[in-house]
Amino acid sequence: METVVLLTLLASALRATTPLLFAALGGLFSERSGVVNIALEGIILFGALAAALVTYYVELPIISRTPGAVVWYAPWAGVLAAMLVGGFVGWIHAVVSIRYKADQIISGVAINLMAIGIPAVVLMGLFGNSSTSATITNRLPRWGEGAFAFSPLVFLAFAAGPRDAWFVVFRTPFGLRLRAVGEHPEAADSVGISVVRMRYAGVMMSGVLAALGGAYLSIGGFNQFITEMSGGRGFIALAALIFGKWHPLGVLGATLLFGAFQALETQLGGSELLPPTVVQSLPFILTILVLAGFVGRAIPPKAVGKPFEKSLTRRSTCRSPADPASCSTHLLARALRSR
Amino acid sequence: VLVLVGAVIVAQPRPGDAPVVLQLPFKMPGSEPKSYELSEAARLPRLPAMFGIDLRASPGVNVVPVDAAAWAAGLLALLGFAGAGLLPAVRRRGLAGRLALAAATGALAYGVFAAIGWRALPVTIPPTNLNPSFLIAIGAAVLVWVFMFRTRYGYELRATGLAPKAAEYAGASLARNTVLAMALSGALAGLTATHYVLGGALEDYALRQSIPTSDGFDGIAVALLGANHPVGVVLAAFLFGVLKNGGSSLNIAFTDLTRDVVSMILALVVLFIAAKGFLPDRLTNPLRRAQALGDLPDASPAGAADPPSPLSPPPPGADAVVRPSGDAPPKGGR
Repeated sequence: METVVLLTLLASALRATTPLLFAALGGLFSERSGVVNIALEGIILFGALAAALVTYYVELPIISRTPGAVVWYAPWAGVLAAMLVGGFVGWIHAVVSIRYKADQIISGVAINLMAIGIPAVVLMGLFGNSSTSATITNRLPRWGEGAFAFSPLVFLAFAAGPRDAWFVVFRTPFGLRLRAVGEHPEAADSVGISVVRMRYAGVMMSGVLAALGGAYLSIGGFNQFITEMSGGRGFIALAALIFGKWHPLGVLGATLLFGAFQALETQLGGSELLPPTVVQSLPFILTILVLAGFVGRAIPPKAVGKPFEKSLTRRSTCRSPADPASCSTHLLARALRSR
Repeated sequence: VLVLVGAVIVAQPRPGDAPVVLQLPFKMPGSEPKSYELSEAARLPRLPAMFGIDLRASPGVNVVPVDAAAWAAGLLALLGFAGAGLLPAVRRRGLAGRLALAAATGALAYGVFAAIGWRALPVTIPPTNLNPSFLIAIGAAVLVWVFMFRTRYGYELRATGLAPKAAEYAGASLARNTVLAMALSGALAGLTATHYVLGGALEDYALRQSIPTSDGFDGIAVALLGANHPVGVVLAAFLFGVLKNGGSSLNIAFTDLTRDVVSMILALVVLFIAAKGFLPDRLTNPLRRAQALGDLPDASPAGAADPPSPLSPPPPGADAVVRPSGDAPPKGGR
């Protein structure tokens, strides 16, 4: 009896961890390259929306002829669409925060705001209500037995995710450059690494990964898109990223912990034993303790959050007339002459 | 963590256990996670109620006589107080002169407006959730302005943000200022509860587990839009408020549209403002355009009567936007 409960708990913990793991690994790539990505929450939503919509419209012609037909490729098309859309949203974040050097937090907030608005508008246009999409028939398949039947994305997340991320970040030239750009962009630039290109790559990879998490939510764990179905997972993933100290294996442990707490919370939800919210808040309290240095020490990539200015003195434009530091020496000299 | 997991495993309910019911002190009994309602005395009144309209007796739209003359007089008195500096005769007498001028303006205005019959002007007051938390918010903005721009501590705080190292060199404590800034921002953000709980902006005067708004995140965007200056923040917050409220009306007027269009528009506004370089500078900045045309230093373009030279001190508010990190001084020689 008890073992059954525990095994179910374990299985649901793994399921709850999957989207967190995807999103947190995404955040890892972005932050290792020096770009804060609080747009993860929004990207999860966009990925979930894209997956649900594409699956629905791919299976629609066949389902309308023979209801209940199995269209094996429909959910995979959805996953692919989610990855594309996630990469695109990541690209937007990259353009705003890298090319136009906007505050990365602000850009992320804007994308999160958009992730509330755009899905609602799209759903209103397609299905006539602003909160849910039509249900899909072909969800991602489930591989495994009984309580341990998981969506392929779960296997992907655990089998490939952290290990491959570790390999890419710590054992390839690409990863070395990514970390260099996040730690000391000027030094990376001086040895010929394109800071901008590396950061674009990092942010877009984070978009693709976070969107996979979103796809798991809408067509893996569920069969439709619901507005704000991410339920703060993007932010939890960021917390897990800090808790895991920006290291893939640490992130795996942290997301497992957070996922376990989420599963526990769901299981406690019905009972009046312990308020589920208490369980819910525990991981965040732990995160604060980690950040404050009580439990180990979390050191972020050094250049995270700072836009990269290739060379100030070579700029030919003035950012604002009141800010002589951003002017080229040419303009500065002219202004001085006119006095 | 291991202890926690162990505790959870041990605490799993077994068959035959007596049901345990945990009652938290504030929680209203029932499945919905919310607190008890506030007592009548603790609630902030709705704004109409402050003008003596009993909303329970006559809900909906009220048309009531309002002593508009007193309000206008008060406003003009304030204007008189603010504008007193323009009159040299008054300015010489200092605060007393200002107060006298304000009182005189107010009394004169009251007399005039009372004469034209504004003492009981019928005013239509729609049903509203507006409550004194609005006034508290405005007051908070004023306080923040005074603190930031008129006290030593605010100066220290701004210096710490602009140039941490320089501020530390001049004797400011980075740690203390960081803690102070965080505590103040927490206190101000906490005042939001005056609207949602004390003011009863949701259906009831109770704390719910989650307040169904994104005010926290919108706040970041509002601060950006307002260029991190109290005046700008008030205006930006007003814009956000108008747009969000308009979203609800939009929902009613056009059934095919959803109010989330508004959050999309807000997101785009924020995105375009955040990405300052999105439009070329010479389109958005008249001074820059003039520079590009080559006529700034001697001939000022129309509309910019007093063009600040690139070396003049920045206007108030502009200093708050400058990020300390990206602005290294230009290395000389090139």
